[in-house]
Amino acid sequence: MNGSSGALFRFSRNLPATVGAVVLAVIALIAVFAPAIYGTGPWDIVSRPFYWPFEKAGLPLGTDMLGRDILAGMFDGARASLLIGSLATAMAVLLGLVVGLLAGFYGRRVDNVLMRVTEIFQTIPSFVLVVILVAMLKPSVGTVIIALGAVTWPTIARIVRAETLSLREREFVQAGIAIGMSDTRLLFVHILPNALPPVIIAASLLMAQAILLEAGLSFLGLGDPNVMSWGTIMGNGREVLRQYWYISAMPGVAILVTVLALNLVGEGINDALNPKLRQL
Amino acid sequence: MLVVFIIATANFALVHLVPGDAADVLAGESGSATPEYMQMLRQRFGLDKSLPEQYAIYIWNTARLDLGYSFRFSEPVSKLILGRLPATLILMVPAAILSFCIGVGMGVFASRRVGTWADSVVSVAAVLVYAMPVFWVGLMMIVIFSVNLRWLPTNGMETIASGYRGMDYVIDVVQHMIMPVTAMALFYIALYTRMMRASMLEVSTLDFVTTARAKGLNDSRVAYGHVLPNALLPMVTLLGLQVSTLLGGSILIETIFGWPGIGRLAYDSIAGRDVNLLMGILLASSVVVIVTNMVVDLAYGWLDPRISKG
Amino acid sequence: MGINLHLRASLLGVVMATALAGTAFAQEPQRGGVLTTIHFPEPAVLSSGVNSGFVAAYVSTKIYEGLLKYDRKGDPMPVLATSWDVAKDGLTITFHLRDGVKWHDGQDFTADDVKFSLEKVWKVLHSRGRLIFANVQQVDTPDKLTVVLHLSKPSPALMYSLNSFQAQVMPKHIFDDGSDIAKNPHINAPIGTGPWKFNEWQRGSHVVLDRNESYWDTGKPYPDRLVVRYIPDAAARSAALETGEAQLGAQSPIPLSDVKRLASLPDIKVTTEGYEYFANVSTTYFNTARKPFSDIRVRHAFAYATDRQAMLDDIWYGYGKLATGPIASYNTKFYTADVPQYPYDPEKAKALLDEAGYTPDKDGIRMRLTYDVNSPLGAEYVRLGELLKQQFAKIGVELTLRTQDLATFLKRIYTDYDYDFYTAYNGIYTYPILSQWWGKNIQKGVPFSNSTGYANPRVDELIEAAQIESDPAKQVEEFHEIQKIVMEDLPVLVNFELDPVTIYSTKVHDHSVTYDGPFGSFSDVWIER
Repeated sequence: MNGSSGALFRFSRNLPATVGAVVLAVIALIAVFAPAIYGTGPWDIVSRPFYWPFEKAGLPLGTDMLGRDILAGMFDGARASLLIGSLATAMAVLLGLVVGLLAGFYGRRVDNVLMRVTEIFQTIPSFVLVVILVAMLKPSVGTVIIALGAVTWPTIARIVRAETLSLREREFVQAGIAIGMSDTRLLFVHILPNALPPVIIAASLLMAQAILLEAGLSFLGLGDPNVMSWGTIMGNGREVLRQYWYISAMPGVAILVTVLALNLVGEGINDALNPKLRQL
Repeated sequence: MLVVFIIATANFALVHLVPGDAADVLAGESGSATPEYMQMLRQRFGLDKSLPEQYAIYIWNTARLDLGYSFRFSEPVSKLILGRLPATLILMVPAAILSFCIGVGMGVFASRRVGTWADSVVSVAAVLVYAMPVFWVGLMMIVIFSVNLRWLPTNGMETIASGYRGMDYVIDVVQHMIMPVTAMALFYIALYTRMMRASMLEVSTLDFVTTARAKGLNDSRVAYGHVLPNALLPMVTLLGLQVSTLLGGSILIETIFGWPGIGRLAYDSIAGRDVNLLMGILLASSVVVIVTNMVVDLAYGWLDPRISKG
Repeated sequence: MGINLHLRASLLGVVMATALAGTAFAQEPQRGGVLTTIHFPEPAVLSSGVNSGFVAAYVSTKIYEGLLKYDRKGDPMPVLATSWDVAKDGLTITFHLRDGVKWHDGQDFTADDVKFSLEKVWKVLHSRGRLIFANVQQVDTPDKLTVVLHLSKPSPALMYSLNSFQAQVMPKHIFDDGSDIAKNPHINAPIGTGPWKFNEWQRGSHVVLDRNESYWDTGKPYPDRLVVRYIPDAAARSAALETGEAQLGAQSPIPLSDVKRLASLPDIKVTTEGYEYFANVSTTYFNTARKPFSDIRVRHAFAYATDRQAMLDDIWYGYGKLATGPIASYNTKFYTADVPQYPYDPEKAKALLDEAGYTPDKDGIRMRLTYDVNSPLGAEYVRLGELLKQQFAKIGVELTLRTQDLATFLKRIYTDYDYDFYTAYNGIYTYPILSQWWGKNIQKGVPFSNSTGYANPRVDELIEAAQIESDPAKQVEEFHEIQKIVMEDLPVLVNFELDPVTIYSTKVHDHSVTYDGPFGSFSDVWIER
C-alpha cells in the first residue's frame, strides 16, 4: 500500500472525519442545486412575516420580517457562504504558502523583506482592514473575498515560515543540503509536505473564520446586498432577535454545522497524514 | 524606524484610496450644504491641498510624533486615542490572559488523553465555541443574563453618574466587563485549545522526543519537559497575533456591548472619513504589533535555542 | 363577617381610586432624579453651530438656547428674546432680550453674544444658517438688551429658524478670541444659557449634563441630572429601555419591529408627537439627467409600480402616513393635497413603459437598473431595497442593489451623479426650503443640493419668489403651485411622511412640549418618583 492511498484508508476509518466529509458534501450539493430546488429564489415574499418554524405548512423554517421563506434563504446562503469562505481561504493559503516558504527557507534578506510586508498587513487590525477594503471597493461578493483573503493570509505565512525555519534545521533537510539537492526539490519534496499538516488545520480554521467574518460584515451592513448569505440572514434577524430569535438562530446553526464539518475533515486529514499520532 | 515610515506611507495610501472625504460626511450629517460651505470645510480640513502636499505634512507630523488633529471631533488625535485606551486595555488584557491560559491548559489536557472521551469532549466543545459567531454569542448573553435573569447590565463600561468610589466602582466595572470579556475570550480559548492540542501531538512525534522516551523518561517528564516547551512555539506566535487583533479588532464586541474602545473609534473614523484619526489609530496599533513581534522573537529564542543558531 | 369584608374591600376600592385619581391629576412637576436618555449615533461635536446634524443638536439644544422656541402649532414663543417686532416691509427685525440671563460660567448674556453668534457662527459655519441668514446685512446693538437685524430682502424663513435647533446663541467671551471657532475646546465642552450645564463627555459612551441651578426660568429644570447614552447596537438599545437603564429614547432609537412589543409593556409609552418641526418625507430620487429616468413616462411608470402602502406597513410598521406631495401634511400652512396622485397600479406602469419603448425581452425583462441603498440611514433602507427589487420585478425591471457608506454614497450621488435612483428622507422645516427642486441648485460636489438634475424654469421662479415673499397669502399660492408642478414632473417619488417615535418610561413627563419635541431644551421634563 503506498502512502497516499494509506492516508485515504486511514481517513475513511476515522468516523468523525467521514461524517464531516459527508455533511460538507451535502451542503455543497445544496449549494450547487439551490436554484433548481427553489426556482423563485430567496428574495420572494411568499407569506406574512414572522411565521415560526413548523407553524405553517410549506414553510418548514418559517418566514422572516418581510415574509420571505427562510429555507430558501438558507439554501442560497449555503452557496454564498461556501463560495466566499473557500475562495477567500484558497487565496490566503496560496499567498501564505508562497511567502512563508520563501521567507523561512531563504532567511536573511528575503525573510526580512517578506516579513516586513507580512507585518504591514498584520499591523493593521484585520477587521478594520476588511472594513476599509470593502468601503474602498464597494461591497460585492468579489470584494468581500479579496478583503477576507487579504487579511487572513499572514496567519498562514507565519505558520509556514515558523515550520520551515524549524524544518530547515532538521537532520533530513540538512542532509539534503549537504548532498547538494536543488532548492526547488528541497522546498517541494522535503519541506512543503512536512509543513502542510499545520497549514491544513489552519486552513480549515481559516475557512471557518472567513465565514464568520463575512457574517460580521453583514452584521455591520457591509455585505453584498444582492446575495443572501447566512450572515445576511443573521444580520437581518438580529434586530428582532429578542422576539423572533429563530431567524438568527438558524443560520447560526448552519454555520456551526459547516464549521464543525470543516474541522472534522481537517483533523481527519491531519491524523491521516500523521499516522504515528494514532498510536500514542 | 524604517518600518514605521513604510507603514505610515501604506496607511496614507490606503486611507486616501477610499472615495469620499470628511467634508462629504460632515455635510451629510448636517443634511444641507452650499458650495462655499463645502469649500470652507475642505480648507479647514486641509483637503484643498494636493495629495503630495498632504503626504509631506503627514510624514513630517508623524516624524515629530504628532498624530495631528481630528477636525471631525474637534480634538487632537492623540487625545482621542488615549481617551479610549484604558477601556480597550481592560477589555483586551483580561481576554488575552484568560484565553491563553485556559486554551493552553485545555489543549495540553486533551493531548495527554488523546482518543479518550475527555479529549473528545474538549475538542468538540472547542469546535462548537469556535463555530459560533461572536456577535451572536454576545447578543444571546444579553438576552439571557441581562434581560431575562437581570444579573448583569446590558452594556456600557460603568453605571453612568452613579457616583461610585473605590471598591464599589471596581465592582461596578467588573460587572460590566464580564460579558464582553467572556464573549471576546471564548473564541480565542477555542482557537488556543485546538492549536495547542495539535501542536503537542505534532511535537511528540519528533525524533528528540522519541529519544527522550527511549532514555526511559516517564510520560509526564517527556510531556512537560520536552514536548510542552516546543509545542508552545506556535502558541507564542498566536498570542502575538491576538494582541494585534484585540487592539483594533473588537469592533463587533464594542458595538454590541456599547464599550467605548478603540475599535469603535476606528470604525467611526472610517465611516466619517476622519483621515487623521484613522491614520493615527493604524499607526498606534502598528507600533503595538511591532513591539509584540519583537517580544515574540525574543520568546522564540528563549524557548527554542536552535533558532538563534540559524 | 361577610359584610365586613365586603365593606373593607369597597373602602379599599375607594381609597385606591382616590390614590389613582391623585396621581392622574397631580401633574405638579417633581424635583430630583437622574433622567437617562438614549440617542444614536454619537455626535462628532457638541455644538450645533459648527455641525448642524441631528445628533449634535440633541445634546446641544439642552445647553445652548435660541432667541425663540415654537409651540406645538409652530408659533414663536419667547426664550432669550422676550419680545420682537418685524417691520411691515420685512426688512428690519428688532429683538428685546431677556434681562438677568447668565452664561454657565457666571458671565452676563448680552446683545453682543447674539450679534457674534449671527455674524460669526450662523452665517458662516452653519450649513442651513448660511441660506437662512444670507440676507442679514447688518446687526445693530443699540443697548445691552436689544438686537436689530437689517435685511437686504425679506426672509420669511428667518423667523421660523430661531430655535436652538437652528440657531444657538453662543458666548462671545469664550469663542471670539480670533482663533478658529471650530477648534475651540469649548465646542466640545459647551457653555450656554440653557437649563442644563455640561459636565462630562466620555466618548463612545455618554454625556452627562447637570441641572443649571441658576437657570433664568426659576425652579426649572426639575431633575438633577440628564444623561445621554450612546449604545451602538439597536437590540441593546431596546434592552436598555426595557430594563429601565434608560428612561427615554428619541427619534426611533430602536428597530421599529420592536416598538409594538415595548409599547405593550406596562411601564413604557410610545409617542410620535414632537417631530412636526422636521416634517420628514420619505422620498425616492430619480436621476433625470440620464436614461431611463430622463423620460417622464418612465418616472410615472415607477410611481405607479411602487406599492407605498406595503413599504410603510412591512418596513416602517405603519409609523407614518402616505404622502401626497413634497411638503408634509404637518405643515398646515403650506400643505396641499390638490396635486396629481399615483395609486399603486402595475398594469398602468407596464403600459407606460411599453409606450416609452421599454418592452420585455425574451426573459421578460424590460430594463436592468441599479438602486443605491441608503444603508447609512439604517437597516430599514436595506430592506426597502429588497422590497423594491421584488416590486419592480413585477413590471419587468431587474434591480441590482448597491450599498456603500455615507461618504461613498454622497460622492456618488452629489459629485459623480453616477446613479439611477435612491431613497432618502427630506426635511422641509416650517418655512419650506425646496432647494432640491431648484434648477440653479445643481451644484457638483455639494451634498443635498439638487441631485436629480431637475430644472423647470417656472419652479425656479416660484422658489426664488417664495424665499423673499412677505405677503403670507402669496407665499401659500406660490408653494401650492410648486407642489402641483413637481408632482406632475415627478423628479422624485414621495413615499410617505415619517413618524419617528419617542419611547419613554411612564414616569417621565413633559419631555416634548415644543414643535421640535425631543430637540427642545427639556426644561419642563420631570420624573415621577
